Amino acid sequence: MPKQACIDIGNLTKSFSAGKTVAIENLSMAIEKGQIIGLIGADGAGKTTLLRLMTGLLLPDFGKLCVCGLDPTADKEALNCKIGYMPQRFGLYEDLSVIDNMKLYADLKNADRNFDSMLDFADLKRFKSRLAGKLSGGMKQKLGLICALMGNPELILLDEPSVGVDPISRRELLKMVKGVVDENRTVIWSTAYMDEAHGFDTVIVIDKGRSIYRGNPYDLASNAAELEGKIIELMGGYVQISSPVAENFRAKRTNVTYAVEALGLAKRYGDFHAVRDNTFRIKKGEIFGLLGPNGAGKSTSFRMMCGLIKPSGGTAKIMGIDVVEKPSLARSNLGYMAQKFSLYPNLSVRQNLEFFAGAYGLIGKDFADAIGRMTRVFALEKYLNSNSEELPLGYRQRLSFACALIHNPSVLFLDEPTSGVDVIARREFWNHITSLAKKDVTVLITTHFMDEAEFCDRISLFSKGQTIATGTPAELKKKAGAKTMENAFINLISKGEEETP
Amino acid sequence: MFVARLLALIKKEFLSIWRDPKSRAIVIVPPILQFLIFANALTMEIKNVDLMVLDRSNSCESREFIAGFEGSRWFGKIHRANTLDEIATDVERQKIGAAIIIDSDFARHIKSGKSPNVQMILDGRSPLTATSMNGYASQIAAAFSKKLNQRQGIDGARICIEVRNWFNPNATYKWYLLTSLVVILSLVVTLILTALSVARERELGTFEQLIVSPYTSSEILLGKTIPPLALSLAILSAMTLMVIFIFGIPFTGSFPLLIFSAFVALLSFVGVGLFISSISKNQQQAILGVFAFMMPAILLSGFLSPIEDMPKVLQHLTYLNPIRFFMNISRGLFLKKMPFADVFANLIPLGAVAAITLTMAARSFKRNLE
Repeated sequence: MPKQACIDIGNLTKSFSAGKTVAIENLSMAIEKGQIIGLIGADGAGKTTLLRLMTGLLLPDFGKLCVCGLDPTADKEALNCKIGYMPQRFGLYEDLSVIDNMKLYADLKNADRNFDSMLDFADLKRFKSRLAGKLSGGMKQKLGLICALMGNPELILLDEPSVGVDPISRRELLKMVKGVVDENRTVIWSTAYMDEAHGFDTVIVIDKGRSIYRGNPYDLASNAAELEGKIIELMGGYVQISSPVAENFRAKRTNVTYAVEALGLAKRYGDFHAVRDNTFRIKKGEIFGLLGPNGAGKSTSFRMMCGLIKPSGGTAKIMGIDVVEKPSLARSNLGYMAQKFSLYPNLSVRQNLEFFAGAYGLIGKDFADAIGRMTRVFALEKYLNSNSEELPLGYRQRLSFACALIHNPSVLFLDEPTSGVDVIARREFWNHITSLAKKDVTVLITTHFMDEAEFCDRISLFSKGQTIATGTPAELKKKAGAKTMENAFINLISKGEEETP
Repeated sequence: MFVARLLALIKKEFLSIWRDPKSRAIVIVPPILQFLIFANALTMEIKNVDLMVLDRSNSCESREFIAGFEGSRWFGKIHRANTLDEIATDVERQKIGAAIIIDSDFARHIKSGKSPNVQMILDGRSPLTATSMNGYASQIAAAFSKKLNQRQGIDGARICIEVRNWFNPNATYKWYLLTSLVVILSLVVTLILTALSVARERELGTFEQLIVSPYTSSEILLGKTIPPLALSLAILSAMTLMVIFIFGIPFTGSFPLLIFSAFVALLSFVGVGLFISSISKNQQQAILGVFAFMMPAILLSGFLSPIEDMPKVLQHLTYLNPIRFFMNISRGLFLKKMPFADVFANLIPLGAVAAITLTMAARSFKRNLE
């Protein structure tokens, strides 16, 4: 007997802004009960729209949708009891404690207040009276998950539960989810990352509102890296060309050996040492990765180095210039790209470029040259006069990168720069980075994704405010006795925690 | 290079105010709308309140006395009552604002040369109306006795008050109101624009991008000060011209002096706005902060009630209030050709307050960046 379908979709279409952007296009599929389904795709591919359609939060333009035997539009209330939904942006109340959040969700779902076993399950018992807003990224997601599990739903929808979560917490989260799946319970887990997708029973790959692959990931590829390659092929393929960004980059001559130096950086908040005596040196043209679990102090270090946080001890140098003593001069050598798209949404692409060119003191011919060059190498001509908030996601990423590079910086600071972009855009991005590094641009990058860590020349691993290991990816893997970077990360971190209790 | 960088920042600030529909509305809509609404709707003159009369005398004299009320422009309808109960019910239901009871011996007293008594009932629930009614009635009664005295050939009117309103000959409330509104509206626009500026960037994540750029915190502060200041100054000038040419209120002082005073006053408002902005996490908090400052500041400015009538503690507090001084200057320059020395006397405290608020803003700004 074939397994019963949990979700049945036929010719589903959903568009926004009066048909201007099509989020889901003519999608048809049936999802069987009792498994974990990975919904794979970049930001803007239509994952969130699809999940929200399933919960009845959005109404389809046309097409058939049947979830747990119910129509989400007509029977929303009956359906609410059957599904647990964990939205992308932490659906919990940050100013309530862990246990108060659980009480709230239990009451909303008319569920029993049997919290002890759930707290054990999520290993959150110790933190039960802590405010949800004060939890680390991984713990927040675990709490979100147990709240979504309240009332024993048949279908659990998790919208990018692993964003901003370190490999250890991610592994725990996945273990929890695997623990709740049984023959009557289905989980849909959406993600932008291939290495995660490879572990699921079934993957549905969404690209531009269409499903381009559905089936067992092992049928497509034997490992995550191969899966990524196959999916790029399905998306139309990617041909690596020499990076126009790097070709047009005008490197400044310099004779410093170490482009970036952290010299005994420390940050204290009251009694809490967020970062202790952190020292490392990055050679010119090196790609240096900062890795570590949530709350280990890598963001704090990163932010101290670019002047967003004032260190309580020590200092950092960029191109030999002290960031504490001469912040403005030091930062003029720096290109910075934040994790979140952070350009002016109401300004046009041209105005954004002009502002950053002006901010770095470019005038006259240099100013016009820089804007022309960035427009050309990032192919932004078509959008020059559109507001940056109206850009498609991939172009926003390009614009951010263009603004960070407009003054030909010798040093690039990138804070999880590829979160949410599709696999092809990610390849392109890394192509630019590695080509720029060959032109002596020094790159400091943070990431949670271990396949990206492999691209770095050297990695510094953070735990509890301290660097516990530094070296090339190969050295770290050897030191940890692990084959993959992810295992090396987990081994080294847990070993580090045993040594410093 | 410094100038080029600063210009880029200022241009960006103007663009983000102008291209954001919300901030654009803040710049254009409230000044025009509030100007038109306040100028026409907000009045503290009490007029058109209905009056009820219980005439127990029902004589020539009493009717003449009532005619005095009917002929005045202060009251609305004059109703007739037959019993005291009617008055009680109608006051209770707020149908009438006041009532007059004329005793049956009214005419007799007048004829025999004694002073007759008239009782006035007022609705104490709205003291302002009651006081005005009382004033109007006294004036009518005084006019009546004067007429009576002349007719009877007795020189009974010993006191005769002739009122002259200086600076505002017809005591038009609009003159007072509009000259103050210019000040208050420029305050509102400046505060909201500046308070939103940093908070908006923080919400968008662009503030970090700005901090990581080579701008120093003083440059950022300067870039955040100039655009709202220039915009508010333009709005204030436009409003002043409207007051002069559309509402026909005389401007007797020096216009450049007004603009200079406005510049100093707006500087102090910008300081407050930036301070609020730098301690707010998002735009909501910033707007709440603006209102938390604005309401008491307007109440303590002397706009709604004279500063001299406030408790001593609050009177001292008004010395920290920039609106107070700017309000003095604005009214003075409009209506009474305030001489330079007097303007200057108000400018000094205004400048001091501006220095304080801007320093506060700069300090909280810097602390936030660390």
